[in-house]
Amino acid sequence: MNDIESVFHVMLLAPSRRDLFDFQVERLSQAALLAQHKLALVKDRLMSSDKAEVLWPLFDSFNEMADAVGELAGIHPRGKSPYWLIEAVKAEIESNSNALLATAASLSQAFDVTASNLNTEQWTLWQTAMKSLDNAISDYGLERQELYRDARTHLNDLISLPSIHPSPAMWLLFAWLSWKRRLSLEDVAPLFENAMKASQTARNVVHWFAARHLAHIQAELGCAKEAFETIKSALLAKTDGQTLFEAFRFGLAAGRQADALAFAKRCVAFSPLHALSLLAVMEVEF
Amino acid sequence: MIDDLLASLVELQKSERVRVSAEARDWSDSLKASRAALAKAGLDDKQAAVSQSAAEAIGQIPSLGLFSCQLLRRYLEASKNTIRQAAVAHLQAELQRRQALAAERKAEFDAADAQKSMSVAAALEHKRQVIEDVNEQRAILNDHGDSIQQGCACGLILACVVLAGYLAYNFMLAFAGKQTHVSAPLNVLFLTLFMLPVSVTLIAQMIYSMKRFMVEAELKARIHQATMLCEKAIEQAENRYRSVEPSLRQKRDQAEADVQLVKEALRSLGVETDPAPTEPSPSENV
Repeated sequence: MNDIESVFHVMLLAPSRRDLFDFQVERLSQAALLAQHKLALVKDRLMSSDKAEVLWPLFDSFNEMADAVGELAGIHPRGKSPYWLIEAVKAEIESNSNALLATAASLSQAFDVTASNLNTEQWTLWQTAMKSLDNAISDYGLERQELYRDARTHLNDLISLPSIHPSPAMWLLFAWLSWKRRLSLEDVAPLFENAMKASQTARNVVHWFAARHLAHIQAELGCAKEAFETIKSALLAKTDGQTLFEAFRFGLAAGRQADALAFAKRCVAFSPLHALSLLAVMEVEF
Repeated sequence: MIDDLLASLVELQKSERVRVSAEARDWSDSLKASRAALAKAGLDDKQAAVSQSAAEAIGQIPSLGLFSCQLLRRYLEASKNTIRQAAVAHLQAELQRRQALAAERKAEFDAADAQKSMSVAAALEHKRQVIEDVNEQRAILNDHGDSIQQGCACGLILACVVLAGYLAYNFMLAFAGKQTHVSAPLNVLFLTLFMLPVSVTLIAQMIYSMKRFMVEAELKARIHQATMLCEKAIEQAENRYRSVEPSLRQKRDQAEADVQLVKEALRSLGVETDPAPTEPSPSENV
């Protein structure tokens, strides 16, 4: 949950490219440390098997990649990793940052489209809610919670208007604010479902976000199979390393190991850095 | 489960080595082309250290693990264009520098040529002015001579009239039967009046002829001196030009050849430096 929460939050905050880079390096370095620890635990067992010859390079390359991430995060001293590896890892992270910014821009566009289709009364409520949300994102502590509550109240008023037909973006934002207001997951799940259903035809970034959040909530509620199906729906809207990684996790949780491994391979093929997250969650999940 | 994940990643490792090898070949070809272009222009490869790091990794591809292969392939993919762009930028900057130098060398050469032409023109102009001055003085002398000739003619006419008077007087006396002597006062008067203009005319002619001879000699000397000075000045200018012309020409040709080398190097990288000739429009043909 923390992962999707922080990503969505960072995206709404729309930080600079540099902030996004640092944010990702921080997340990856933590995953790298955890993954290296996990690998070290199984290393001796695997290295005594007949696959040792092919596994050595895999382990070595994994450690080199993790070290390069650690070097970028300032955990390891500079100059340990070769120049090309550092540059390659930086390029991967920058590419991920660019993808996040592009997604944030698409989401912002979806919010703008929603606003453009409202009448004056509806528009006023929408703008008030968005303003509270903007303030909440850049505030902290109790004030942030208060502002989340305000934003949700205004959105609730908007959605409750008899004249309105809530858009997918509206449902997504309402569901997300309800989740942030610590409403029970059982109550929040249908709201994300509404967002998903409303964006079923468009299969856009709103659908992708709604499906990812719903999958996380379903996984939290112990509905692993539903979570796996939902995340597959998200992948139909948009395929990226993070969603493939989530599909791997939910596939494993749903007992669909073959499918999960297929998603893992696609995830690593999409970006090798996701291998850090994949290995980091292995023992935690199973 | 982690065994299965690692096994599936090992499968990816095999195919990734093949892919990275193919990419490495492309990268090496691109690097060779860029280096050859830089060498053609006599420039060093500024990216040599950067390329060295990747080249070392390429040498180890058979033993590289999945993640290193993936990152290396992506790095090479991006680096291929970067190396070419860096080489092109380096060559374009060098082209500008060499074009400026070539223009400077050409200007130096043209300035020496122009200086020689100016010196020759100044010498010829001076000679022309002297000749003009001489001709002017000769015209004045001729005018003066015409006046003397007119005076002499008048004197001779007067002498003829006196002579005619004298003959007429003596004829009348002879007709009247009177004898007269040359020493008679009237005859002396006639002869004196006859001899006086004749003598003056002769003396004036002599003086004029002498003066004309002297002035002509002086004018000829001035023309001769001006011609000598002119020829000397032209010779000096020619000598001066001949002494610097070979080195200036060599520098100019060398600078132009250096420019051509960079242009050829850029063409070898597919960058056209000379603007394509514009074709006449159909309306112009009509």
